[in-house]
Order: sequence, then C-alpha cells, then structure tokens
Amino acid sequence: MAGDAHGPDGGDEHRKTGILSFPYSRRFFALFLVAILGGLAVRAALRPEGFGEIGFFRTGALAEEAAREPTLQGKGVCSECHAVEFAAHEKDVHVTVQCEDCHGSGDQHVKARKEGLPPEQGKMFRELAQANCLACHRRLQARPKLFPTIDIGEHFATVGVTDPATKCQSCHNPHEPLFLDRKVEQARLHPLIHACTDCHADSAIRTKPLPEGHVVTFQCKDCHAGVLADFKTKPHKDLDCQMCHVFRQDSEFSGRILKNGNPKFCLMCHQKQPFRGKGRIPQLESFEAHRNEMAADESEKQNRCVDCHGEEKIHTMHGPVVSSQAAEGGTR
Amino acid sequence: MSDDGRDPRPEGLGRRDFIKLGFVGAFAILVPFAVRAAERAPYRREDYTWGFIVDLQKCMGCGACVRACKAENTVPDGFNRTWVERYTVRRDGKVEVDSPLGALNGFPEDVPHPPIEVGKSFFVPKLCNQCSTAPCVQVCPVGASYAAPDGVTLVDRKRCIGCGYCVQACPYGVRYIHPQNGYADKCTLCYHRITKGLQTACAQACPVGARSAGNLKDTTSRIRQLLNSSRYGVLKPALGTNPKCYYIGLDKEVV
Repeated sequence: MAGDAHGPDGGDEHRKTGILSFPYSRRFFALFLVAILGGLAVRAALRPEGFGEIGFFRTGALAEEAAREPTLQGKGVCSECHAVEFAAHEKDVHVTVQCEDCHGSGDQHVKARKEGLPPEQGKMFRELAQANCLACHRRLQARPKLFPTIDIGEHFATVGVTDPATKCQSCHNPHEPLFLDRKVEQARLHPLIHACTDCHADSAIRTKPLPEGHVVTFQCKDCHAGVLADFKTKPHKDLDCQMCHVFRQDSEFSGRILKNGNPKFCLMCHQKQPFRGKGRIPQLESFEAHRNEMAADESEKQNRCVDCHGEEKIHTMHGPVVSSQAAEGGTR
Repeated sequence: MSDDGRDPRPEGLGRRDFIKLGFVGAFAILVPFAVRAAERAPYRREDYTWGFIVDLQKCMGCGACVRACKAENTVPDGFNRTWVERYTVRRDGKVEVDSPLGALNGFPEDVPHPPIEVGKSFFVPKLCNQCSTAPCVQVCPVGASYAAPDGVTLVDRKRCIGCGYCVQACPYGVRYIHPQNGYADKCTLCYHRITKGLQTACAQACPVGARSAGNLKDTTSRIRQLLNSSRYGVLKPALGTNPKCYYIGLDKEVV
C-alpha cells in the first residue's frame, strides 16, 4: 500500500526541490504570465466602452435605443392643423381610434409640412377601401359580442344598398360615424343588454319565441314596453333598437346608449344615392330643400328629422319608464 | 373715425380687452409647449420597471397594433415584433390557431366552421413577454441581449453578432434575425417612446384600449390598477421566465 501512495513513477526528487526547479517551469510560468497579460490587453482593446458598468451590456446601448425619434405622431399632433376633423372625431364613437390607424403613419407628412415641402410629399391615405373599415367591423366569431360588427351582405340588404362595391364612406363619415349630438363620454349609462346570441350560437334563434320556462334576460322591452309596443306599429318596426340607439359597452356590467338626433344620422339611409335601390326606403334628394319646403315659419327651418317625423314614423318619444334625468341625458 | 362719427372700434372689444385677449392667447399657446417640456423631463430609469398588459376581453383582432408596430419600428416584411393569434376552441375540444400574416391586415376570413361547432373563439396578441429571468439574455455570448435596469429586454445592435442563440432560446418566439442587417431584433417595448413619456406604438394605436405598457413600480399606474382589479395570467408560467406581460382573461388553451 505504501508503494502505491508514491505513485508508479516514484517522482520523489521533484517533490522535494519544489516545482520551479523543473527545467521548463520558469519558462512555462513566464509564458503563462504573458498569456494572461496579453489576454487582458486584448480584452481591454475589444471590450466596448462602458461595458459592464450597470450590467453585462454596453451602457451606451441604452441611450442609443432611447434616442430614436417616435414615428407615429399621435392625434394630438394631427389636431394642431386639422382642427375641424379633430373636433368631430373627438365627440363621436371613433374617439379612441387614432388618426394614424386609418391614415397611416404621419411622420413624413408632419416633416414635409413643417419644412414647407410640396403637398405631394408625405401624402396620407385618404380613400379607404371597404376592407380597411372591415378590419375592425367585419363580423367574426372571435370578436367580442358587443363590438359593432356587420356582415356586409346583410348590412347592405338592411339599408337597401344594391351596389356591392359601395364604399362605407358613401354613408358613414369615418370621423363621426354616428353623428352623435353629444360626446360619447356624456352618453347615458345603461345596464348591459343581453342578446339571444350571447348564449346561443345559432343567430336565427333571435326570431323564435321564448320557450316555456326560459330564463328571463334583460332586454329592451322589459323597461321600455310602452315605447316598443308603439314602435312595432310604425314603419321602422323591423329594425333592432340598437340600430339607432347604439350601445357601447364600458365594463362587464354596463355601457352607454349614445344620444342621436342628428339629421345626418337619418340621412345615412334616407339620402338619395345612386348605389341604393328604389322603392323600399323613402329617400330625399336634399334634406335642406325638404326642410325649407315643409317649414311653416323661420323657427321650423332648424328642425331635425325627429322633430316632425319622430312620433309619426319612429315611436312615441315619451315612454313610461324614462326618468326626467335620463331624458336630459344624465351624465356619469 | 368713420363717416357717421361713431367709434370705429367693434363693440365689446376695446383696446384693453384686446391686450388682455392677447396675453391670454399667448399664454394658451405657450401652455402646451410648457407641458411638453415637462413631459420631456429627464427620464430616471431607477423609478421604473416596465410591464405590459393585454385585455383579451377587449381585443377584437383588427391588427392596428401590428401595423403601428411595423410603421414605428420599420419591421421587415415577413417578420413581426407583435402579432395577433386567433384561437378557436371547437365544441369537441379541438383547438385551432391561425394568424394570417400575423394579422397585418386583420382577419379577412371568419373561421371556416359553422358557429354551431365553435365553442369559444378569441384573439390573443403576442409580443415580447419582458421576462424577469430572460432565457434570451442568459444565452447571449457577447452581452448584446440584455435586460435594462428598468425591466425592458433589449438588443445592442452594434454588439450583436447574429448567432441566433437567443432566437432559439426564446420560448415565446418573439425574436428574429434581421434579414438585411443581421442582428437579432425584437420588441423593445418602444423604449424610445416610453422613455419620452409616450405609450408604445401598439398601445397608442389600439382602438379599444386593449393594450398598454406601464410602470410596475408606480402603484397608481394603470397597469397596477388593472392588475389589482382583474384576474390575469402569464404565458408559459411553468418555464420560470417570470414574464412581465400580463393577459387579462387568459384561457388555458393559450400557449
């Protein structure tokens, strides 16, 4: 056992005199030192400035990343020049949509205008195709139920459009799609309305009567029975309440019914247009001409559609449950 | 004086009023500049830990975030720093995921199943998860991928050698090698915007307010309020990457 401890080669001599007495040791350590120093020199040369100061990275990279100028301008910048469009946009349902969502990035446009370059420079998208609107408003099964979506064929059938290539802008102004009278935020709060399709996948179920013992959901007729009964006798009877009283969901439990009495809203369907078929929907050549013709005196020349046609064509305007505060358009 | 001897000044706007109006007007014009200057106050990174929150109940898959990100960061064609996936869970339990062009043009087609077959369907926007313990940072051999002290995972473009280790290491697939410039590229959480007091490009563009970046160190920030008030999840929690990208209303099927 003792012989095994010294190893088979029996190197006792070297162990006694120390490792530096080995013929090549000094040279070896000198080389080792040179390698270390050389390594440090190479490291110093290759190591970029500021590396490792606050982490295993180059400190200057942070400032470089932060130094880039933003490309998207934001609607605040757009409003500096386009005040009219901005004012309309700010009160309607597209208030949360940035200008650049539809018009494209505005950096070149702003730069060109600030430097006084010709208007051809930095042109923005203007004429939008159906597909651009439908990117948000196409009916998809994955979309949230209360987000306003359409099936384009169904929608055109409802509003009497016969030309399938009709652009959305022919009726809807994208800056104020619903021509609201009041700001969206000032619209009255309203509890959530349930639709049959919240639970049932088959959309045709809406037209079927409730079966015996079906759970009662919160629907328009529960509170506005009087108005609805009257509405069912009037020409608009086939339309959903929400076609005009647009519901905008705010939270899990409530949303807002948007206030809407602007003639432009009615004219989206009732303005005479080449792309709309004749017959089913009464159409006006010119709203102003019609109003002036029908007005008995000067004061009536400011009338809106609902001032004359409201009770007669739509529904009684004073339902039994609408409180005075709600009628005033109570704010949050 | 005009012909009929009346004072030519318009009624209601005398000299005094005019000067007053001038002062008020000048002040009103200067206020936005002052506000902007205040917003550009030096950014102190030790005050921030950036996180991101996505509300899946609001997302309606329009792809505005994808387009905004592409424009803001000149992301090359065929690559995405953020994209939107559509999950369709059928009634028989089968899950399908699609994302045409990363939802660059939204979703032009509905899922090919009749509604009766679809149990649930929803959109999931994806982006860099800003992991607290990021695998991509760990594997970088040259210290080009790094976690900034304010919690954003970034790439030093000058330092990156384009080896692609980080692309493989990222469990969320958010990295790619830039086809022209050769460095690894990824969502920077719009570091150049958030450090200037702006929102990220995708969050600013979102028309339904489904996405936002925020300061996790500030208890009054919107992201903290949302995290305090809603039920949320993170992607692939079992990997221990501790993402700082939170999803409200996350489904178990989402990976």
